[in-house]
Amino acid sequence: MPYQSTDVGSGTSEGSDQALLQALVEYSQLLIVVLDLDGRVISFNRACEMLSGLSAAEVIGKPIWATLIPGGEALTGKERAQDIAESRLTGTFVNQWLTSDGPQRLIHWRNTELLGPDGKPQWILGTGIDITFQTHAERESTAQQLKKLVDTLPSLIAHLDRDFHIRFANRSHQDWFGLDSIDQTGKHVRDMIGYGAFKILKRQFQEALAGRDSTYRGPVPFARGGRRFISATCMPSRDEHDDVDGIYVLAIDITEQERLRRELSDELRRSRTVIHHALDGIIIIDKRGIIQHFNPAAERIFGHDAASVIGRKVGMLMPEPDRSRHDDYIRHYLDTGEGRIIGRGREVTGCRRDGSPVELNLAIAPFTEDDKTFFIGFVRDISEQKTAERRSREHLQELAHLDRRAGLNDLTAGLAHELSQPLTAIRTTAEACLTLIEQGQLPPDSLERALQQVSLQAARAGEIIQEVRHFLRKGDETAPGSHDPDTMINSVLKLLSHEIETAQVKVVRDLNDPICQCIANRVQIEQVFFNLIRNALQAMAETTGERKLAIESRFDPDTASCHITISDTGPGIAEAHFERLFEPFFTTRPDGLGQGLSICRSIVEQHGGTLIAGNGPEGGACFTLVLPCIKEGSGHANGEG
Amino acid sequence: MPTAKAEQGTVVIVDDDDAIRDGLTMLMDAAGLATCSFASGQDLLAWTPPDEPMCLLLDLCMPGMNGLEVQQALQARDWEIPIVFLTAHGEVSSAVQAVKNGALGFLEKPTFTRQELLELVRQAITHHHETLQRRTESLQIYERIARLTQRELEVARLVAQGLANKVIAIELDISERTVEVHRSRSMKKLELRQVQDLVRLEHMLGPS
Repeated sequence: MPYQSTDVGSGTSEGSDQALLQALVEYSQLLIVVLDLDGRVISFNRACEMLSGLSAAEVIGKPIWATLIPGGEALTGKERAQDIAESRLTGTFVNQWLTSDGPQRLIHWRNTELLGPDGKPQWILGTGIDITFQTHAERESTAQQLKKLVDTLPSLIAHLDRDFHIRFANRSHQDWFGLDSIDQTGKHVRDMIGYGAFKILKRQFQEALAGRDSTYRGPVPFARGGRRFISATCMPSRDEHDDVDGIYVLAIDITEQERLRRELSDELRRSRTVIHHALDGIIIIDKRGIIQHFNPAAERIFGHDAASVIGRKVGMLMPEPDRSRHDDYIRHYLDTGEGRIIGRGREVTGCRRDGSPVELNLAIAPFTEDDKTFFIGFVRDISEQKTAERRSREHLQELAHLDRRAGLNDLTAGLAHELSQPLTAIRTTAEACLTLIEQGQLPPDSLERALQQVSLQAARAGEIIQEVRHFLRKGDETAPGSHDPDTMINSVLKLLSHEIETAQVKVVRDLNDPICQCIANRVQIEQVFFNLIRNALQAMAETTGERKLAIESRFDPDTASCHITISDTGPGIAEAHFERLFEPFFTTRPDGLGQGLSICRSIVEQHGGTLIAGNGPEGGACFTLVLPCIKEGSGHANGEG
Repeated sequence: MPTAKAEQGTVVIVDDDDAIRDGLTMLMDAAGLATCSFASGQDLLAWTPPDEPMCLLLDLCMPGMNGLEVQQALQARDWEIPIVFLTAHGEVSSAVQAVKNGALGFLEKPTFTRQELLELVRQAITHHHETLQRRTESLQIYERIARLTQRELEVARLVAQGLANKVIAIELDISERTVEVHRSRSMKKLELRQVQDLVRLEHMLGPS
């Protein structure tokens, strides 16, 4: 025997070593136990007695399993032997000891073999520390930390027992349910969350109690009123026997999320509805020009089903050369950021399914989604608008023609006068010849001269008629050409020369130097000049003082336009008439139709110019006409013509 | 300048239109009338007309000075040349005014016939011829009147008024015989045969 606990002090040095050893063993706070190789307790120190509540006498001589190891009695011989074998190894392990009066203790052991006199292992020495409280404390601290953590989480975490009473509910419940105290422990969960919520979640609770995880995602009546949207997961909590002893509930408030989700959904639905019902065609293409989306309006415009165009190149909706060039347009834009249409809008011609052209107003905007570039195009069918424009232009031409014919009235006196001159000359010459023939005295050279004169005068009459015919010509017979305003002004002055003379009006011309060219329909612009000059003559009909018609023309390089002013020394335009001056049917002439100025303005505006009326510094009326022009010889045109 | 044949009178053509002037000239030539033409009223007024029978063919509508203005200017200068106006369509009122102002007539371009033209022209020339003759006669008479002495003129005047010699004698405070002498001398100087002729000249004998 290495030592006996009851052996106390024998006096010898060996004995004093022994006594010391004994004292160490006896009074050590460590648990010291010695077992033989069968597991019988040989030595059991005081610390062991105090821990286990068993005296050494009750334990010594018996297998340790019988007294100290929980469940040890049930172990078989084989198991015991295995246990001993493991214990013989020097190592550390943790086990539990029974106590006579209390709960099991957790002990941390350090074992070693002891050798007998024969040098072979004979006993096992075990030294142990009771770590029950430590663990408990650790466990407590861990539990505390966990609780703190759980309390700070914004989610709701609760532990319920099988009767739905609260074992634990984290702090969030207090805020959520507007509770007075944090500690809800022991209350029925219904009292905390409200009857409505309980009713809704009961199913989940019951699932959990049945051992299955389940989640509820939906609205829950909020204890403070209103509703919140939650995602609540319920899991069974199990005891040490793996039986369900309660429910863990983890709930997250997803009200905001739900609201955003619904907003997004609404937004999306709204966008889809807008696109679907838009009157304009909406086409989305990717950066390769492949059609991604094609709304019903686009279907109507192009005559294609969305299904038949999606996935194909957008060029199929264009005529040549745009169809082939479209890829280049896109590439150019992606490379340089310059768009022919992007940011501007443009009138283009599209190609319908049946191949017929359709006039469109096209606007394009780029956008990115997931780092990919797309283009959205808005097309509006402007065929009707274009047709209306065309019709309006034709209408204006008709009206202008009628106006010219009406204007002819003012030329009648002059015309008659002009024509009677050459006719008189022709007649007198012819009659002179006849007289000479009667007398038998017409020499051939006299006859020749006479006939030449007749021919000349007839030609002169012809020219006059030609001028009138030219004036009366319908607009569509004269396509727009490049004309110099001064030439046109002079033509008109010639046409009205008789009227000017009769009215005794002095014409003062101050025309361009150098000459400029306008893109104009000559007949129509001359008509404008005709109306303005004729009006000026009429205005001065009653003027007693000086009657002066001043015509001035200037080229303005800044705006590339020709400014022409026609002013008279008549009574001027009355304040009251200014507003209505250019209205159709407005006239101050008793026999006037009132179309002249209205048509003048329409013609001028169609040419891209302006016509303004005013009173000059000397009191008479002054009309200013501005026409887009280029200076002759400048080499480049103004805009797109 | 007047052309060769001046026997019947000269037609003066005033029209701004060259072709019409030429045509009219040719026609007048063919009819055996001398012509003279001007392109404007100003040119006409710058001319001194010869003392021969003439007719003026005047265009009514001309730039610068029109036909009516020319007519007024001529009257201001006491030119008594008869005027035939040439009018165009629509100038009828002006033409009527011209005639009221003393024009002989007007012809409408281009519808007038050469017969109408020549007739008016000849009428005008004849008229002018008579006018000229009368003027020559008047000048003659005035010349003769200037031969008379003061007394002779006084006596002639009173005789022309139809007074008897006796009364004239009392009026002038001279003898009847003296009256007879003055009367006979004045008749001789005036180259008149009968008293009726003297009576006819009464207005020319007025207070000098």
